[in-house]
Amino acid sequence: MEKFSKLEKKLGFKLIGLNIKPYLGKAKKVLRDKGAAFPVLMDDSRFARNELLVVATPTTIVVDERGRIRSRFIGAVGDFEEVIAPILKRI
Amino acid sequence: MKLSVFSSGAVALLICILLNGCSAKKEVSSVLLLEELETAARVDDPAKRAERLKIFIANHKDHPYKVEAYRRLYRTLLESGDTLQANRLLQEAIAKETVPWEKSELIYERFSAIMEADTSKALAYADSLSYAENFPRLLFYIGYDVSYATGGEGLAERCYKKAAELATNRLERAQILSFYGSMLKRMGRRSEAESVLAGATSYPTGARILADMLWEDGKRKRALDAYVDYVAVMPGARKYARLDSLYSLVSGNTSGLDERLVASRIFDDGTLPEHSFYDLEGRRLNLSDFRGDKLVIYVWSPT
Repeated sequence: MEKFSKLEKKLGFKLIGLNIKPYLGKAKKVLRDKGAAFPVLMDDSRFARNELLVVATPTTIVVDERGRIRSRFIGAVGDFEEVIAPILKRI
Repeated sequence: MKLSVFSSGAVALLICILLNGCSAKKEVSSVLLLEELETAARVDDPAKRAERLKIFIANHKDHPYKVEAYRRLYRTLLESGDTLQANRLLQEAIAKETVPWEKSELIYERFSAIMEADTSKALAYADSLSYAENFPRLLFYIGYDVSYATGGEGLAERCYKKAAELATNRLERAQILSFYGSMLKRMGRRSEAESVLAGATSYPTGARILADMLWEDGKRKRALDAYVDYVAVMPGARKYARLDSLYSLVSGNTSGLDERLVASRIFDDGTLPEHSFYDLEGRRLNLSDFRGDKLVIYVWSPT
């Protein structure tokens, strides 16, 4: 999560978190511990599951400037910059 | 009755109403609701906690978070030894719930508690659910749980098959088939497992199990394709899957592997639907606010 925030400017994208579980205290603690500095939205209507086809967490979704969903990762992304940079360049 | 117990969440809600001049009928921030729920769930005395959770449910009976409140209330009553009231309350909630997701979550809570207490009773309950229920996620979860119980494989198979047939979300279907295929492999039904897993490669678990099986069977080219599918959707597994070594072994070198992975990761899966959310600070944000920027959405849960 920390890495994500730092790469926003470098790679030219916006990052948002979407928390799908009804745990507020735990969510705040994890974000504080990880030093995450991006907006985290609360999904209280199963939007991620129903509209984004999310079936497991974490899932990372890449959207282009026109609002089209262009990539989706399930599970660990690994080296975020190495994985995401070539996708952001091409979309 | 509703105002008889004030949690800090309820106080925050009242302040919000006064500041915004909104009526109680207007939408309330999900963050405030969660604060109210978590405050109720932190009450030490189980009887008082149960009372607070009942009040939350009564006040927010149309909000999805009521399911979490029911879950915590059910567990509180079980912890207090009031099994009869716990079961009656949950059964009533299940009976009156009309939203399929929410009904399924309540049923699964009931099933899980029975499974923890008595496996044979849980298998009997799961058997009845496998015929009566038609919500794929519920059947999938139950199938997974009973697949590890002694004598539960046949029931698990029925649940998995029905769940896969009913699933309309293609990734959910792949996920279900992954676990079904994994069970078949565990049971020694390898050719059936291979056939089921062939329809599950868009989910990382399915792709990986299929790849391992094909590799073990000496079908190296097909195995490599499945390993590429696996790492394409779950990049963090590249080292664990030894993809570069296997690719070199089969293709002579790793030339073209990176390009192949990048190409398979880019597609067009339609327009991101518009939706509005509260952030952790209680502010409203719309997905359309990000239009014009490349956006990465990190979907997670803090558990």
